[in-house]
Amino acid sequence: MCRANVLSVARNNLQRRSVRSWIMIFFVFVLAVALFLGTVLASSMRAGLDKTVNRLGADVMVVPKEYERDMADALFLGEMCDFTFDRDWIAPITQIDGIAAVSPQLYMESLAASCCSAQTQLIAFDPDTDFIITSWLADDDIPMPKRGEMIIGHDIEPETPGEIDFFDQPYKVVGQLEKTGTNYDVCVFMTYETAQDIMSSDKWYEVFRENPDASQLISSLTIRTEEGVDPKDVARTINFHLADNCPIAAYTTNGIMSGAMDTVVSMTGYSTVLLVMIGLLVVAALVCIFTITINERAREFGILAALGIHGKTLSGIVLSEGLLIGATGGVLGSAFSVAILLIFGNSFATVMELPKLNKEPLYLLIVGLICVALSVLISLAASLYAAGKVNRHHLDTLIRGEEL
Amino acid sequence: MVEVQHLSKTFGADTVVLKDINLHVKKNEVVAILGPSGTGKSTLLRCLNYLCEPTSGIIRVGNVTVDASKHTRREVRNLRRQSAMVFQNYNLFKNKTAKQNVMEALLTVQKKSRSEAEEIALKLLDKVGMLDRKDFYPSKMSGGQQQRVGIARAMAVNSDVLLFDEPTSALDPELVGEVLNTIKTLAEENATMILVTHEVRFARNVASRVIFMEDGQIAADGTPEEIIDHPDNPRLQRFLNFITN
Repeated sequence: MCRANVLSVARNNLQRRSVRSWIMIFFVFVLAVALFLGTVLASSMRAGLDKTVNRLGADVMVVPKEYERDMADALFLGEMCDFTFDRDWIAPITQIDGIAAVSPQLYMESLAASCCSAQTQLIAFDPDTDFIITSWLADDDIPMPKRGEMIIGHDIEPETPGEIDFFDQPYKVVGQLEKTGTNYDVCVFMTYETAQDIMSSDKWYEVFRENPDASQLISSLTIRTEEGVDPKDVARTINFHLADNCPIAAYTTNGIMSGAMDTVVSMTGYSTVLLVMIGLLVVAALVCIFTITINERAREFGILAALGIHGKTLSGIVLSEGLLIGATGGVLGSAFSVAILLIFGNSFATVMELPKLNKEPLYLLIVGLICVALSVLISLAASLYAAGKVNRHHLDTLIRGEEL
Repeated sequence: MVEVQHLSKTFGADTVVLKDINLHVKKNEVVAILGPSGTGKSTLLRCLNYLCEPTSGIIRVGNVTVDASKHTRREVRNLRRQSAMVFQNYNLFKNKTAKQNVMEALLTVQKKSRSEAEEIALKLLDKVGMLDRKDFYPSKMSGGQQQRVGIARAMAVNSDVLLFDEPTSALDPELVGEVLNTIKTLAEENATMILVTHEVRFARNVASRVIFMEDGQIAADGTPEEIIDHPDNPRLQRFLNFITN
């Protein structure tokens, strides 16, 4: 029998037992959905982390003690922060060996109120010392903002083009950064002078009951180490020079992100274990169904063999059923996962605190193809036992319909 | 047409079912195999197309010879294609209509086109008197009708020899006649047939030769007149007395 005929017989067999077939397809579907979503979520999380670390561009960060976790959450998860410490700490740190550049940043939160265009993280930087945001502006060909001007992240959409409001004051938007796939896409950047204007505003006072001097405040001190110097050594040296009771501490960027990285690693591990278990369960379920089915159909296979069909062809029919079940389940599972990601992707990202889900068509296509291939492989593996039994057993046993 | 030499079949360690069977069936011969239950009639028939694998011996059907002591799967497959079996319990595909059951072998084994297979199937169904039931599923047919479809399916593969394994034993008495009539028609068309049956009268009328088996051996072999009308084997006489009375 030619291959097309084998597939056609297999398809007819599946259609004939539609309930059984759909149950088997459902098992593979569940596996494909788990594989697809698990892969996309885990890789999006890892990609978000990597991009954030790369985008950050600093080797060491000085933040208030015990706020390193908040800093990581702000960088990776987009949680807003507004911790500060005094600018006077810059001088002693700058003198430490191995440091190539030091630049302060100040974080402010805008409000989810009519006074602000969006509730977002406002980041002030010092154009004279900055080595991070300045390079982004240069890359995206955006001019350095002056007092009263702002640069917005890619995902910020001002109601009025070219203008954005914070604390009842309008600010001119002089540039929008390219998409980065990190939480910087929803941040707004300005110089310390503009930050001073915001903190001096009446609305700021109305909300926070104070008008602090922005020029004296730092949320984080970003440090670039000299070439060949280990950031860990620099962080250790800074912490050594700082008094025990000082309110700040230095952390390597990787150290700050290590919590999130550990989470990603452990999540990936759990997800892999879960996927392997689901895979094994699906294989076990399919093996059971295939075995029960071929026992039920032993006589049918026997008659086909008695009519002169090759034993390998009988195995081929069972394997083709496995192939069709795997392919159908895999394609449906992948398609369903893509639909879920496209429709509920943002909600997923919010619930799972992901900076961004990778929804690029080519990436989804590749993951989909891999899921379909794995689904087919697993389904074929599950049908192998039954296919072998059909081929191995003697015709008389088959025709008598005895259990294989 | 069919040549069997020193055929033996043993189940398990010591259950000998066939003992050194030697048989020669000529083209167009209709051979009826009679005998009490458990004497190896069905086993002999099943060994002829290797549904049941002999322990030893040589079987030749048409131009294909298979030696039980050294055979390949290809040889067995070729041997199997020289004959077609009509089973006791019909063994139709339950999910296919009468026409589809007959077409199956033509499509999958002989790789005929659908239109050609359909044409042959309808012709064969007409021959066995089942054309008006061509679109019926087995569940909507009587046992006799199913068996006639089974015969049409066996004929469809266009093999040299038709093997009938007690084709009427699963039928209600009133349905036996229609199947026997169909087999008789085939016999009249000079088909080569080997039948295992308990229908002594039918064997007498249709067979050109009758074999009586006892204890895994051919105990008597001759014309219907010699075996049924004038049996000289005491065991055969007892068997015929038992069957006819």
